[in-house]
Amino acid sequence: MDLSKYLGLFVSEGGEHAEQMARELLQLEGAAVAPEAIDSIFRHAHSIKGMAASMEFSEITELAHAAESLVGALRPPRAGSVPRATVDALMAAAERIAVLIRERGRGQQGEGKDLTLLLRGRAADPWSEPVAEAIPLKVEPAVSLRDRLRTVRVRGETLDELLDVAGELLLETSRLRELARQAREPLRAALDESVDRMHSRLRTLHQRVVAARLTPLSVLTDQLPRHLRDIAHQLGREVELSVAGAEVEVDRAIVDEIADALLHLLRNCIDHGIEPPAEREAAGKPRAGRLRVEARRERERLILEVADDGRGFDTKKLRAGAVRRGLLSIAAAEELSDQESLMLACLPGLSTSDRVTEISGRGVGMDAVKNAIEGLGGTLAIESTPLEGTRFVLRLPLNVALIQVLLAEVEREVIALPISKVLAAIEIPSGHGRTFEFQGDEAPVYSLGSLLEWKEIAAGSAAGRPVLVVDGGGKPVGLAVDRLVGQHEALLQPLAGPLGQFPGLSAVTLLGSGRPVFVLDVPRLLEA
Amino acid sequence: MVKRVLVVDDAIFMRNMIKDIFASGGFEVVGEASNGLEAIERYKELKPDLTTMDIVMPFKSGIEATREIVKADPRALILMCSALGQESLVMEAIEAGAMDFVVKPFRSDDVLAVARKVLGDGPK
Repeated sequence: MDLSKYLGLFVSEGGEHAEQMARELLQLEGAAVAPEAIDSIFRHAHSIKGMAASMEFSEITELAHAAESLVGALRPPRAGSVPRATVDALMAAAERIAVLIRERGRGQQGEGKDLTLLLRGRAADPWSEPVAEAIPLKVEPAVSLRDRLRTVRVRGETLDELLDVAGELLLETSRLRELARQAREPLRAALDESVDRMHSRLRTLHQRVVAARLTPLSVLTDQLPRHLRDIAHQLGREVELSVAGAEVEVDRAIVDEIADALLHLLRNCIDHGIEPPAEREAAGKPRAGRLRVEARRERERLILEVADDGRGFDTKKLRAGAVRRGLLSIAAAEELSDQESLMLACLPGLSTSDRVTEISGRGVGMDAVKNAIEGLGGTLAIESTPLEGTRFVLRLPLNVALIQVLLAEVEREVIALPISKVLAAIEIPSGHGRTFEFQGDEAPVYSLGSLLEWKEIAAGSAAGRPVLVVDGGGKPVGLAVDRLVGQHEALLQPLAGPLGQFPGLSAVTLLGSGRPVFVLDVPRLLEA
Repeated sequence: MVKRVLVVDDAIFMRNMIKDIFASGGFEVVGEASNGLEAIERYKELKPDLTTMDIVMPFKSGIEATREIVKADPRALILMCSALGQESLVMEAIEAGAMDFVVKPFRSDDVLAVARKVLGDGPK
């Protein structure tokens, strides 16, 4: 077999897997381990191994095989994060594989033996944390002088345009793929292949643009101390701010959108949460109120926490305020849990503060904050303990990139689910209906069609239908559909107007045929 | 009659190589799929004489896809494509209904011989 004709494809596709592997490893650092993350990294190493073996490139085959074995040895994942030494070793492997692939592309052959041996060593006990830094990895300084000279400034709008164009081109390839379906063989196969290649390169382009748009949160948090000092001064408070995770990078559009929300929340903390210094001292607290902003990445989300050690929300007052404004009946208010009562703070025009201040107004702000966060596809949660403080938890997307969705047909309608939320697609054996066994657990199954009423389907009726197993907040939940249609790459557009109020739908996307499809918001759907 | 083949693998690289091997052996590659889910759809649509199935694929593995295809069409002929070190997965695939397997890196002659055996033509 003449292997040289496959070299170009090997270099581009193999290189992409190596790059993707490195990117996913980055997300493993310090985060709780998700089995799907491990599976995905495993697949990248495995794909590289298969391709390299086919090309008879032994140095890459062996290194990828060792990486695959090490990732495989992490299964089943334990609680906590993967030890730094293991992540480092895998990261070094991904980077070396990328180099080795490029060298093969130039007709050269590099070396991977040292790393291969190191990975094999770690595979024996991948969960151990070496006492000393036992791995002699060459670490390049994060930003070398040469890199800095190569850095150029680009206007933000240019990056916006680039992202739009790259996204539109990607969608256009889906349309091409649809058109190719109508062609006859052998034209169809040739078209398919060409579209596949174009799509793969465009995806790389899109990912590059997405990566180029990443901005550290420090551009926001660096401004905070000055602002907060001013606000505290006006209100006669003393505050101390601590910030963690300012180095976390998110898309510049997200940074823009959350800037106001973050400031609003902190103002609220100072105005309503933090007590005047004398009151704090009387309560045995330090004079200066503590404000903490903490950012971290959890898989594909940014978690942003804003916390104070002030007096906490008075849920009774929140309920009373809602009743007084005619937003809730007394009976309904009494049924609310404390957690639900806290969310009343986000209703328009509601505030527990008896004063109207210039700073945070009267309840103006919290509803705007919540809307802004949800407009980005995020969520806001409030935790509050009387006399101890309040914590706002924002969960936000890291970027505005394309996501993979799974298309399913329900009652003759096609609906999309983000693949990240789908654990598996199964078929329930006949005789089962209301529940099924998934990875040793009994899980409920619901019919997606009757979801709006959220009824459990009649026993037996899920049998024989495809069931999508989704993550129902840590527990698997089955959603029975009529038919699985396929996979699709979607550029999501948030729902505007009244559709946005519809629980369970988060966005709309266009199929290759131009047909709009609703995207299911799995967590909110399951909440309902 | 020319035998019709469906090629399932998540790597374009592997699909191209497998397609070339089959084309050189006088088969007709009628379709491709890049994951287990697509494989099931394409199988239903194309009803190929033979399906080559990668094991490790995103979203739905080749083993699960094999199980579902064979359940829907017990006469389906599926040839697993595995890599070294996947012996236990190959056994699982055979139990799920696959007929035989080949191991990467592929040699054209081996792949074609196993394919012909599976199709009942006997090695030529």
